[in-house]
Amino acid sequence: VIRLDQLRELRVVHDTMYIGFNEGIESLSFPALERVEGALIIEHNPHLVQVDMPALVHISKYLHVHDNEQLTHLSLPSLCEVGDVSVLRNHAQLRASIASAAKPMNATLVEMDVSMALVFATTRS
Amino acid sequence: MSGPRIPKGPPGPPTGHTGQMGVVVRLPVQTKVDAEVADPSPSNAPKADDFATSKQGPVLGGLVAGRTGNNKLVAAGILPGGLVVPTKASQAVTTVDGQRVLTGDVELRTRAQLRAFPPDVVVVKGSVSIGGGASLSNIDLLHLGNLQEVGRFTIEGLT
Repeated sequence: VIRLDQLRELRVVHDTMYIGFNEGIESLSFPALERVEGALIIEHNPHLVQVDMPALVHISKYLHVHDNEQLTHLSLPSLCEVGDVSVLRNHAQLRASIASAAKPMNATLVEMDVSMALVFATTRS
Repeated sequence: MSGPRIPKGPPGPPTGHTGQMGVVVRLPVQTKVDAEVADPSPSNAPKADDFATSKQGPVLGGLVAGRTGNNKLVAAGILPGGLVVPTKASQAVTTVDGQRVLTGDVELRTRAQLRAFPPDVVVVKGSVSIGGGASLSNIDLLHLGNLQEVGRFTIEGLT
């Protein structure tokens, strides 16, 4: 199992952040990550169970979370600014949380699995 | 009127040519070699600790990578399995506003490369790619623990 929590200081990604096709990752935690100045793509990580980015406020382009068969927790409680959002073909019991103030900037595509529970977290003051 | 029949022989070995003039078929080329396995000389096989302790790392394909005793990356190029940091990394790592900044793209495909990453670097102006589809397993990202800002960030193929 790969531990990514050592990237605990990562605060800004000035382009796209891509995490894909990793069999050895069970959880993703970027506690300090605040901004992704591109797209955030998390796909085809067959053993990924949990994604936790508590400080992430802004994604300039789109958020795609696809084909993570075991993903049950997607926690982006501070995410307020994001382009398109697409969360598809993950675990049927996926519980995702984003900030209640989240307004997709493009407002053209918000795709999510019907069975997915979307929980709006309390907006940070 | 026809000439003598020339019997066709069995097909020859593949030559990379289709038989049609001017058409060349590209044969598969092995583009990625894991030097940790492919190194023909076990005595010269680089060990991960070499990059952290030696004055000058092993010579691999004519390029040199290593660290000084005080953990400064003195030069880097092709490390086992691919590119780790831009050549002349000692020039690429600079101090800006008190922060250690690495200019250029970084690809980390082996444990040795991960341990060769300058641990004091806070900003990478270029992209950072971990794994790169090289099926990297049991890795330690400790040397990336101070990273705060990167360009494009990719994690792919970790097993």
